[in-house]
Amino acid sequence: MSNDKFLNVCNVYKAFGEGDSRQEVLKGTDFSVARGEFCVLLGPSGSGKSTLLNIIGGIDSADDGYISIGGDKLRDMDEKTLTQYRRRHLGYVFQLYNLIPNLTVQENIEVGAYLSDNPLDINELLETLGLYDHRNKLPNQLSGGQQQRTSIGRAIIKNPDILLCDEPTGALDYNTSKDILKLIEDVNQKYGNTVIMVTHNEAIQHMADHTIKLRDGQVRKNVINENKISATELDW
Amino acid sequence: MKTKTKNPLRKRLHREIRKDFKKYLALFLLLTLTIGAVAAVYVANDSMEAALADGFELYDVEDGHFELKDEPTDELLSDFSATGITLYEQHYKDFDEDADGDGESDAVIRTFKVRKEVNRACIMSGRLPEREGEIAIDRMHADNNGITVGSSISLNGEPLEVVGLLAFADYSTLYKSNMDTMFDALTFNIGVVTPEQYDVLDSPEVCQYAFKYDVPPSDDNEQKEMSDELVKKLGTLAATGGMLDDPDEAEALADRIDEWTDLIDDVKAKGDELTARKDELEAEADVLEAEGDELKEEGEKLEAEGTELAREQQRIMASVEPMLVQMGIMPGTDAARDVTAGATPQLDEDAIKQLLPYLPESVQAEVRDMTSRGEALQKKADDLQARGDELQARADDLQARGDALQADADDLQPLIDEAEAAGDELKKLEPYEEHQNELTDYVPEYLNQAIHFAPNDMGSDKSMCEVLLIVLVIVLAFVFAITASNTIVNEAGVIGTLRASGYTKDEMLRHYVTMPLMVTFAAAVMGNVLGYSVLKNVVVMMYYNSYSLPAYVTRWNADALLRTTIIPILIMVAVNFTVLKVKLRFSPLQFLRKNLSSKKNKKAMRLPDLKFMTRFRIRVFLQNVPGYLVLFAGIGFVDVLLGFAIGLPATLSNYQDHVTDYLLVDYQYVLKGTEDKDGNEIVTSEPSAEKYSITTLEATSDPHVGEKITVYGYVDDSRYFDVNESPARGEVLVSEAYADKFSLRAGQSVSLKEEYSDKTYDFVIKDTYDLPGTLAVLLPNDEFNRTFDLDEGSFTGFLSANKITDIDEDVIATVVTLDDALKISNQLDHSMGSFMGYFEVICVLMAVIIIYLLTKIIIERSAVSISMVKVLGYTNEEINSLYVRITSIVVIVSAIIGTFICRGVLVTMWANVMYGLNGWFRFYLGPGDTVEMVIMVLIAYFIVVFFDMRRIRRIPMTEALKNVE
Repeated sequence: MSNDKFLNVCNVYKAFGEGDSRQEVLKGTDFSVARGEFCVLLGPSGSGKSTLLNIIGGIDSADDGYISIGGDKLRDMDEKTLTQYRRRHLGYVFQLYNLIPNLTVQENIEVGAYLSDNPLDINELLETLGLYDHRNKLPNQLSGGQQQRTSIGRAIIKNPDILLCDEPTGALDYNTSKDILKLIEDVNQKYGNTVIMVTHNEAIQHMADHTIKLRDGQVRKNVINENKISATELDW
Repeated sequence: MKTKTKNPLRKRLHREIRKDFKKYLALFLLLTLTIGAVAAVYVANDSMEAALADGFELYDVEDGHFELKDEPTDELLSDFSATGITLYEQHYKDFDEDADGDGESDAVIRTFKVRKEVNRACIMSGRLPEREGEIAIDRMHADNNGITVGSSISLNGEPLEVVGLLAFADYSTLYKSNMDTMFDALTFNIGVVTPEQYDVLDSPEVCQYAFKYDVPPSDDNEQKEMSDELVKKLGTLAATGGMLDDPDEAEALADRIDEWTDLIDDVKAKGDELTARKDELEAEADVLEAEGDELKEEGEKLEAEGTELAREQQRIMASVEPMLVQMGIMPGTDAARDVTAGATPQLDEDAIKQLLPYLPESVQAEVRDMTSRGEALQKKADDLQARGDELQARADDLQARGDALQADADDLQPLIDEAEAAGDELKKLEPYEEHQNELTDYVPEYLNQAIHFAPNDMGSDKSMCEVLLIVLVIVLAFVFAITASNTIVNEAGVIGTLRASGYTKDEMLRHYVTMPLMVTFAAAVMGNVLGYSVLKNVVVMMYYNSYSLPAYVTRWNADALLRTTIIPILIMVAVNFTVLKVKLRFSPLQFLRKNLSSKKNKKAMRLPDLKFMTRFRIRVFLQNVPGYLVLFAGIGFVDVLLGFAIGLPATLSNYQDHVTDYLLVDYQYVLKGTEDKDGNEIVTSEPSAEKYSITTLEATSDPHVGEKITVYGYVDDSRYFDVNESPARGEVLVSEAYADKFSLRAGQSVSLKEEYSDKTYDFVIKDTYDLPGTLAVLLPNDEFNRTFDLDEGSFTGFLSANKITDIDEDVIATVVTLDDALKISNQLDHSMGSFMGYFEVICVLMAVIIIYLLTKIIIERSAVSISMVKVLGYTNEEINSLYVRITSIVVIVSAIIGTFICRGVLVTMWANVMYGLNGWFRFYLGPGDTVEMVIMVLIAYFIVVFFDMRRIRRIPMTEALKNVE
């Protein structure tokens, strides 16, 4: 793990609504993440973690402050450049999988591969994901865990620099959640992607290299975990 | 090196098609059939046009033809040829044709000798006639009348065997006359026979000549210029017997001839007058001479008498003198002095009177007698003198008049010289007189409806089909766009994820545009295959049913490919690209949040305090406004097609029902002249007959330059022209049809042109006249005669409520009857009417497909809501009342509004069709027809409702649960 500051979140502000209904979600959020780090953003509902993830992902913008990745500031990018940035550097995993219903598992993963000039080997990835035997199934033939695996496969096949995960286990049961977390851990270790995972599950911080706790739009805790454990050891 | 992964999203497409097979099949079929039909029209049309165009060379189609009043002399024909044309004699005879042997005339057949040099025929079946008793006729007329090769038809009772069915390149549309409103393949026919057969067939022959330019025109403009020039030359040559071909020169010559004739007549009249005066003077001189001779004779006689009297007087005096001397009387008198002087006394009457009493009685008696005789003689002499004086005066007068006559004669001499010169000039014209003729008809090829109506009409079919295809493709493009929009809404999360993962908007756009493009492309390919095969044959059959066309070869058509394939695909791309670009404009986050509304805080529209179910329906409506708008457009489109299918027969039927109202009168006789062989004015004892005048001019303005406009001259107190206030000099009434077609109003000016010349007539429109079936201008007959420089009281024919039977048929040029007015509607009915029933069914099927597609979209869009209300316990009937009823209302309202829109569209389309034809009648869609259209749409809808209700029934309750996050 490198210690250089790959991702910098610098004094980011974000508010929604206007007038009486204006709500400040991020209030000067400020932290850095090193390349290859597994970083968990923790916080209760409304703490601004998903908003922050979206700003990091370039699908939302900060009112003030900035995000820089590898020295490039997102606020200086126009929409086209941002799209190219996402295309080259980011992978997304959502709570609700968002798979394309009439594409098979393999094809859904290929949707991600298409975006990369140098994607990972799909068969190897399918093996890694434990989906090789299911590769020709449609999403509606899969369990929730399998769908989320597919979603992760779609995100990482292009071997993104950063894997953004928004409550990836939010819709899954305990065992399946652990499987998914293990998978993300494995991916992180195998491919060296920087992982930023938003969750409200405090237990997950123990498997992370870096934990950032948000409350009311501000960083309340920013901890490097020297004694992290494997996802399989997690319990909640 | 790894190959670049192809966009895996494309793998969705075939599954998408499988999943929604019925929808895409419906769209595919609709597009395929429409593209196929339009491609078929284009291919058939262009192949046929190519066949017609090739036919110009293949069959040597004329550049024009003209007719002459009489058989021309060879010299005149030679002069015609010298204008730069080659002439081909194609005289013809018109006969009554009896096709079914019932003894009744079924048609008029125009019969030529087999034409070998120009206007040759395409043999569709059989062969050309080779011997007497054989005839080959037009293929289409034969089809229409059940005549086949081997049939027998009779011409004016003369039976002939039909040995061939032909397509005549100069009669691809069977126009009997180029002036006719509509062609007539039912009761007009063309035939060719051998020259020997032609000669023995008895009917008046029309002297027609086809011509071809020695140097063909390079383009249409040049053709028109050459034709305009040629007709003037031909007309001038005919009128001058070949002396001149320049109308200006001819006009100048005609003026000079008039001057010469006037001069000669004038000199002649003056000469006659001088001669008469001279004769009178000579007669008078003769009388004077006779009287002078008589006077001279009397003078001589008087002189003799005077001499005798003088002798007697001398004798008496001689006897008296001695007596006087003896008597010694009369001293101091002259006589005494004479006597004294020894001279014979000079005795005058007075002296004698004085002496008389002194003389013996006998002498006295003698003297008295002599005196009396002397006095009588003197009286005579005086009388003679007076008569002599009078004679002299008369002689002097005669002399003066003679001098005046001479002066006048001297004055006349220069005129006589001029007249002699004029006479010499006129003498020079004499050799041309025998060649003089009259050009009675001239039809250049480019204006010949018999040649050009078919290709022009086929061209308008193409335009109409293209418009229909474009409208349909636009409607279907919106159907696709709405379908894709709904998919985008349903797949918002996926799109958000993909966009967040780096997929560009354009990639997403291309993906969603691919499906409509694929279906359109596939439909275009299949449509073209059908268009070049099955459907083309159907269209060709329709054309063969309307026109007498030659054999053709199917040709590949780049224009058809562009218009039926490329343009629809471009429209499909453009519409979908535009709609979906708008739909995909949202940010990845908005997609992830399924917040696909441009308004950040979209508020629900407040609804009035209606029943819950009503408000629910209104919400369903508001949610689906774009879908309903497309449904409205789709129904409007179907309404236009239905309006055509129902409106065309209705329009023709309405025209036929009212044609008697459109006719001026049942019989309209046009006479060749108004005097019979004996020079007497032609009259009739038919009580309903009324004199009138008629001529034809040409319109000079849009929308139909060259359209024949009838000019009527009506007599005062006419019973057939109901004119309240006659137009003043220079003004006319225009018929309603003319006003309608050319958008004319009272107060406007119209300029009409003479056929075959540049002479124009300008009129101011006083008012319109209720004559819906004829394009005409009306003016009083006196004004008609003045305008066209005709003698006062002239007329050209009779209008009559009954057939006129007491006029020699030879003097009748033509009779316009009800049958002529029905020709246009009969032909349109025959050409298109029979297809309208099928077309109605096609329209209903099209309505079914369009309504099915759009209601399916609306229901699918509401699937989650429907599922949810099912979960809540709503019955299917209640759900139908929510989702189907509102659609029913939209369909009914669309159908009703659509009929009004379609009426406007069709009236315009119909007007455009009629602009290209001679004549005019309005598009008609009666209340019953409108109701029929609405019912047709509703029938289509009720078929769809069955599927809609089944679809609603089949929406599972899990649909709602699956989509809850």
